[in-house]
Amino acid sequence: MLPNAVILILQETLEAALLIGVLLAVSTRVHDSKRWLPIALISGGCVAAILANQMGIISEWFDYAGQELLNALFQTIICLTIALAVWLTATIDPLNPQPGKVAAFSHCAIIIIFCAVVREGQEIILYLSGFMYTENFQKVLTGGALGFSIGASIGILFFYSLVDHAGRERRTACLVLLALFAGNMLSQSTLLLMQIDWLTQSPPIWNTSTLVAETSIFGQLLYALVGYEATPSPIQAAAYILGVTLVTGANLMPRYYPDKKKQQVQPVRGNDA
Amino acid sequence: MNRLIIKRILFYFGLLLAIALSPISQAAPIIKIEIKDHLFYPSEFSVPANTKIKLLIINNDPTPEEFESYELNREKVIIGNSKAVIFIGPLSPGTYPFFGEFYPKTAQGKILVN
Repeated sequence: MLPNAVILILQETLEAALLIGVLLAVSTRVHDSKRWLPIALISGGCVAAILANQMGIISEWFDYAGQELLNALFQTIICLTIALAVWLTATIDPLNPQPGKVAAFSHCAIIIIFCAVVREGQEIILYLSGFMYTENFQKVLTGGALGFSIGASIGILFFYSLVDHAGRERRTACLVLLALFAGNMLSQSTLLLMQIDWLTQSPPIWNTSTLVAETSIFGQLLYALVGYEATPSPIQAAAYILGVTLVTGANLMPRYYPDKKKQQVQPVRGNDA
Repeated sequence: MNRLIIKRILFYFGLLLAIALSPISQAAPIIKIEIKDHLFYPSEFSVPANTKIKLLIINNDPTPEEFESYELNREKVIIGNSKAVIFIGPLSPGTYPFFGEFYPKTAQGKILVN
């Protein structure tokens, strides 16, 4: 029971931990207060508990499609908000960060992490609730805490390995990771729509399960990091490309459409690392 | 000019979405799977190739279970004493294992597509 709890909670935690790591690295560049993190974690955890409690009713919505529609909505919001956050960071001057834009970035970070925590949190709560009145509850809780700690540690390690790099390198790494996250989210949302028959399922465009199995540790890490799927369908691949393009486009937009209304800038608070 | 391009992109994106979401619901054959004591009943069954299938999963246990299959790319939590619907296929011939992620030691099964 214990190893399964470790693996399951680790799987659920890893995606959100990596996303938090990247957003923290970005926020270090734009010098925001990082108050968004506790706000997003606490509010996300509370809403996840409410949704987990009501999952029986939600699942029955739209002829048993409620669960998928809700998760697909969260994933789409994550993708679009990542694009907005990237656009904001591309317009923020790290030497003279405009307070309005930094605050807007913090709001985006809250939305992204809130949605990620709600999505993964409800599954963790449902899993733990199944053992609540059994003799295995303590074992499962210990395993869960262990899995959570490993996931959080990987996220922290990821953050420090990102901030360890100089400004330009870090910015490129964060951008690539956020673009892949956004692509992954949109791709996963199409998969959920196929599961409820709102999108047509078609044969996979390739099969790399013999090369990197989704069940392997490397496969799981790739899944959390870049949304690796061994057998993606054409719609999934198209959604992935659309997500990546949205974020890349959001990053390039200020270069071609510079902000005409220059905002009042605050005094310099620090230099870009 | 730029607004026109954005409008066009949005139009074609909407059109693609409308095509993708257009009515596709041919009546899919229904396969009923029950969960009892963290086991799937039936744990093994056959379905025809290249056919969309509607899986009706009834969880008779009081605890939640998550139906998961890497090969089918499917994942869904089923609350205790409730039912869920998952569409799979059209699939090419082969074996597609599935399992209950919350109780993977016992909840195992496979779909034979032929």
